[in-house]
Amino acid sequence: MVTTDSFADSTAVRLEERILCFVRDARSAGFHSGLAESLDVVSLLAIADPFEPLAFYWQLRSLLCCDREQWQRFEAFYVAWFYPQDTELSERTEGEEGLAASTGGKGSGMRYLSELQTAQQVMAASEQAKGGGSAQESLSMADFRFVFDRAEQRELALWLDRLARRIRRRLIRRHRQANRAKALDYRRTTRRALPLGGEAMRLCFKQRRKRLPRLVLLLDVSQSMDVYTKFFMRFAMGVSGVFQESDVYAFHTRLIHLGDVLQERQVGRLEARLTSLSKGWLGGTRIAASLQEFNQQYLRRTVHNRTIVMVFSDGYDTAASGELAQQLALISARARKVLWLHPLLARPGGPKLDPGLRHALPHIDALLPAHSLQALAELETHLSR
Amino acid sequence: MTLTVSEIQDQLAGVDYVADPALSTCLQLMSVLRKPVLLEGDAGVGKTEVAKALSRATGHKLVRLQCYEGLDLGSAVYEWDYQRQLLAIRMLEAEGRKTAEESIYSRRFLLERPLMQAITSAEPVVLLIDEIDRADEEFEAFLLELLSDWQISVPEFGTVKAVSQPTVILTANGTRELSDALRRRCLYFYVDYPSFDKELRILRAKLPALDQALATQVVGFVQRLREAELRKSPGIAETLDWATALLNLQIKDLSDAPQIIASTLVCLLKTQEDQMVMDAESIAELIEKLR
Repeated sequence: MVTTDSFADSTAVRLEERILCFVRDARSAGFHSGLAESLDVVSLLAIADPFEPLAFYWQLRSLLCCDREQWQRFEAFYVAWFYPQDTELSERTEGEEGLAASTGGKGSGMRYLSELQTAQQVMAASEQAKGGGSAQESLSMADFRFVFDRAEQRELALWLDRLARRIRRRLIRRHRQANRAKALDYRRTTRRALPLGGEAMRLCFKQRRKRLPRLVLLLDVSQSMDVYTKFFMRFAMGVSGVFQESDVYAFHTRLIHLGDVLQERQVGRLEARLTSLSKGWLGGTRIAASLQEFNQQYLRRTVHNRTIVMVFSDGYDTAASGELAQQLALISARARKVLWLHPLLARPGGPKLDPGLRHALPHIDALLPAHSLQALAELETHLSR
Repeated sequence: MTLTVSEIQDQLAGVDYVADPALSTCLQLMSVLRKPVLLEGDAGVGKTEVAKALSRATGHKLVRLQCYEGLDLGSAVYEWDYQRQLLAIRMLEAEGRKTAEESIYSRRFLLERPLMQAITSAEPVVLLIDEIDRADEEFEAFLLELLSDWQISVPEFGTVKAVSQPTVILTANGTRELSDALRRRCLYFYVDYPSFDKELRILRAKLPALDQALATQVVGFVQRLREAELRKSPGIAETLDWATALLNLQIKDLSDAPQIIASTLVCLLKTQEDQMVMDAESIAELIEKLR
C-alpha cells in the first residue's frame, strides 16, 4: 500500500530528476548551467509560487541565461522541453511583454527543437566528412564565396566573432619601451621610500597604458559584394564588440551609419537598416560619392590620428576615376592609416583593378586580400604598426 | 525571511517603481541565492532606477560606483592616504622609532572608496556598479573575487571580509562584451522597453498631475516613435521629461498645438539625424494615428 507521504516523496524525487534533466539539456543547448546552477534550481523549487505558473520560468531564465541572445531564445527552449505537445506558453503568458512575439506564437517550440536536431545532424555529418583538426584549417583558408553549407557558415561566423577578440588581445600585449613618464606614482614611491626611513630617494612614475587604435570600417554592400557582405558584417560586429572606439558604415549608392546597431548586437534592427539601404540596390555602386558623404558628415568627428580606416570593397565604382582618389586623400590626411580590403585580390591571376582604385593607390597604405578568415587574421600586423 | 514576488512588487510600487513580476522574481532570487544581478538593456529603460528603488524600498543605503574607461582600484576600492602616511613617518622618526611599516599600513590610513565602503558597512547596503562595460577588463577581473567571495585583498595588511553582504546590482548596455566569468557569477535580466500599459502606469506613478487622456496620448506617441527606425530610441526617462514639459506648457491634447509639440520633441529625439527623420509632417502623421 502506498502512503500519502511516500507518494509525495517519490513525486518530489521525480520532479527533481526531471528538472536536473532540463538543466543538463539546457547546458548542451548552450545555456549557462553548471553544477552550481543545478543545485540552485533544485533549491528554487521551494520558493516558486505555486499559483503563478510562470514563476518557475522566470526564475530559470534569470539563472540560466547569460546574455541577450540566450535570453531571447530561452522561451522557445523552455516550451519545447516542458510542453512538447502543447505550445501555449505564449497564451498563458499574457501580460509578459514580447514573449509571444519573440517566439512567433504557436508551434515555435517544436520548430526550434526540430531545427536544433537538424543543425546537430548537419554538424555531425560535416564533422565526419572532414575529420578533426584539418577541417578547421581548411575552413579558415576557404574563400567566403565557396562556403555554402549552413553549418560551415555558422562555424565561420563564430570564428569571425573570435577573430576581432584575438586581434585586440595581441594589440594590447605589445608594449613599447619608455624611458620617461610624466606622472609621479605616489603609491610606489612611498612604498620604495620605506626601507630608507621615508626618504623618497627613488622615484616611480606612472605610464600611460598603450591605447588601442580607433577602427573605422566602411563596408561596400553593393550587389557585386553580395557573397561577402554577410561575413564582413559579422566581422564588423565582432570588431565593434571588442574595440570600444570602433565605428562601422555601410554604403553602395549612399552611406549609412551602422555603429550603434552593431554595438547593440541587434540583428533584427541591423537587417531593417540594411533593407532600407538596399532599396537603391540596382543603381550600381557609388564609392566616391559615399566616401564624400562620409567625409562631410563624419570625418572630423570619427577620424583622428589614432584612427585606422578600413574599406571593404572591390572598388567597382560607377563614377569618374579621379573622384575616389580625391576623397581617399582627405581621409588619409587625417587618419593614421587607410587599409583597402579587396575580396577578389587573391583570385588566381589577380583581378583587374578598377581605374578609380588604381588612381587612388597612393592614398592607400595597404591593399590587402580579404577573401578568407586567414586573410582577415593577417590584418593584425597592419593594425599594430 | 524570503519575501514573495508580490510582496517585492508591492514594496517597489510603494516607492513609485513599477516592476513586472519577472523582474520581481529575479530580485527574489537575488536575495535567496545571495547572487548579484546583471541588468542589461538600452539606455534609458530604467536599469539604474532598479537599484535606487530597491534602496528606497528596503531602507538600505545606496553605494554607487560609476564605471568609466581607466577606472582603477585607487578610485573604486581603496587608496592609501599618502600625505598622512608621510606625516606619520616623520612623527615616528622624531620619536626615534625605526619600524614605520606596521604603523602606517593600518586601517587608519586607508581611504575607503565605494567597493570597500560597501563591504565594510555594518548595515547592509545596495551596491550599484553602473555601466560595468565601460570599465576595463582588468577591473572586471578584480570584481570576480569580490562578487564570489565577498572579500577584498589589501596586500599590505591582508584580506578584508564583508561585514554584511551587500545587495549588488550591475548594469551594462553593450559598450563592450563582458567576460563569461563575470556573467556566470550573476543572475541575468534583460530590461526591455516597457509595454504600453506598463509605461502608462509608470507615467501615472511619477506624474500624478498629468491628465489621464494626455498620458495615454503621450505613451502612444512614444511607443510609435520606438517602432520607427531611430538611431536613439527614446527611453522611459525621455518620456517622463517630455510629459513634464507638456504639463508645464499646460497642453491638454497633443493635436491642439502641433508647433509647440514639435518644439518640445527635443526631449525625445537626441540626435540630429533623428530630428531630421521626424519632421513636422511625420509628427503630424503620428499624432493623427493616435486618434
